[in-house]
Amino acid sequence: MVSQEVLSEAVRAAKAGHRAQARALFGQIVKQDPTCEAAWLWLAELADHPGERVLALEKALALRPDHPVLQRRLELARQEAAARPPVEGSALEEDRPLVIPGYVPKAERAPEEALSTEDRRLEEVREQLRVGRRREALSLLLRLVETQPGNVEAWKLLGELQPTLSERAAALERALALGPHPAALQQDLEQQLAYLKKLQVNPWSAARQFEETGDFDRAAAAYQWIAIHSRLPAERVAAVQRIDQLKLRQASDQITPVNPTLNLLRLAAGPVLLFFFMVLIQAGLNPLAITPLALVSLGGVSAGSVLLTATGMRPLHPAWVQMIGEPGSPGEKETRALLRGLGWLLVIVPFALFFIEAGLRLMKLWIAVVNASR
Amino acid sequence: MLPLNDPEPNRYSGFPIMTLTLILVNILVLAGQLILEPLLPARLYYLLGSVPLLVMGQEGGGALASLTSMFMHGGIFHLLGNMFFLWVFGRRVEDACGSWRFLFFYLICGFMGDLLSTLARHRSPVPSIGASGAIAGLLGAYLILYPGGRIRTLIFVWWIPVLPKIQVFWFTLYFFFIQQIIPVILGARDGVNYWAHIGGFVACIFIIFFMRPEAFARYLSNEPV
Repeated sequence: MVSQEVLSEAVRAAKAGHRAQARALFGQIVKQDPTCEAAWLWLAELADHPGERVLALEKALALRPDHPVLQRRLELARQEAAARPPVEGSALEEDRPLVIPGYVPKAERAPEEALSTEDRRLEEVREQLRVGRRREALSLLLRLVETQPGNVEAWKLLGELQPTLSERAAALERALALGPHPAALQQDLEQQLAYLKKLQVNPWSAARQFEETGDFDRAAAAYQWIAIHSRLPAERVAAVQRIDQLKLRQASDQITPVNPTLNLLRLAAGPVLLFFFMVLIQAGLNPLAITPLALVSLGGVSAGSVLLTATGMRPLHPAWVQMIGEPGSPGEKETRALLRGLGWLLVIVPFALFFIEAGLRLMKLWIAVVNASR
Repeated sequence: MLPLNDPEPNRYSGFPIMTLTLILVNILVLAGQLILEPLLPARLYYLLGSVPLLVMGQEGGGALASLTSMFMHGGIFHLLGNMFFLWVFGRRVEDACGSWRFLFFYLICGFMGDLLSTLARHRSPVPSIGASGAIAGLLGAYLILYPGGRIRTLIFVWWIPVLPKIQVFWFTLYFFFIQQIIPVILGARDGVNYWAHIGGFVACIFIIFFMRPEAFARYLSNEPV
């Protein structure tokens, strides 16, 4: 008998659009209980190829032979299967088993043999990743979790490769649900999942971070998430525009991302340099005549500039994350705003004091010139 | 030889708000000058221009006067020439930096120009005004960021105006080395502050502190900024 919980979870996954996860769960269900008509119907609904749909509908119809709607659907699926030639890697290829997750209709293969096949497939996925073919790796992985829904490593990899944040989170949840795991793996999965969920809370921030660090694939995934889930039409349009821009850039460029710490220091140096030049001119181009107050002010501008740049860039540097928390975590936005305010204060006050002093000197000269001309 | 336009579009921002603001401020300051000049004939330039003798003696506005001198011009043609340069070279440099960072870079180039000019003429009581130092920095930054850029330029050949697109390298070679370096070597005394131009141009290397993260990554990856 199938657990109602598993069935509900599978239906939830299907409705949320997590096809791979849903197919894997329904596959488990029909493996345990081949008389579960609902699972066969869902499998027919989720099938990628008409051949798979025909098989699932045949199973469902065998359970309820007099169902007119099922008969009609099967007929349509058969017509569709006949009209569409088999595609590479599909279940209709002669040398591949029919891909109904977890269900093997005829002579079941020995578990050891199946395991080695799956291991080989996982190795194939890693090889694709090594040569930078993410899309191919993802396609292989999806097929792998369908045939072996208990493969934790495959779900974990899927948690990194799925295009949307919600799908990645769902894959990691699935990997965690297969536990208990060794402590290190459990911690790794939990950390990744927690991070993804935080990104889901503030996807704009996440997308911009990925963009800044040059991880355009993930940036596009985050923008895609916004485009699908945002309730504001303007926000959806903006996200789609960002995706288009990223695609255009990716199509034409091969950019190596720059270390965020280097970017932070580089950008923070700008205002400091400007202030230094002003102080030097004010001191009559004599570095020894720079006053202690000016040096303190220079320190203030440096600190303020670092704060302003860091809060503007939201780097993923571990020290920064430790200080104010990960993007989207509770209180992170407020802390960032506070630090930004402090940064502005530290930059503006020295500049203001400097201009007051310069203004007073100018006034003094003005009075002297006016007096001399009388 | 006057640059008129850079036909290439922006990559990051649609509207060069800071470049246009700087142009507007320069125009307004010249208007203010023309109004105040009859009231304060020579004093205006002495007080708000950059006077090397005063700067070295730590008198007057110092850096404040250096700042105000960057926005003052000696007349409409001085302003027009500079503003064409600012528009042509500033727009895409601003695009690569972002508005506020562009403003900081512009000011740094201006201060650097003034600094070198003050060092070179440290005993001179003659005030120096104009945005040329800052704009020379923009020209240098443009050359660094867009070495393949082509500038629509107005040239008169035997009094006939022609509008060729000149590669920025040749433009810089002409504008900077022929029009600035050679007069300095020859010791020209034509009222042009060549040292400010050279100082501003040298400051163009500071552009690396102001580029957007992505533009910087592109630059390091040998991709067009």
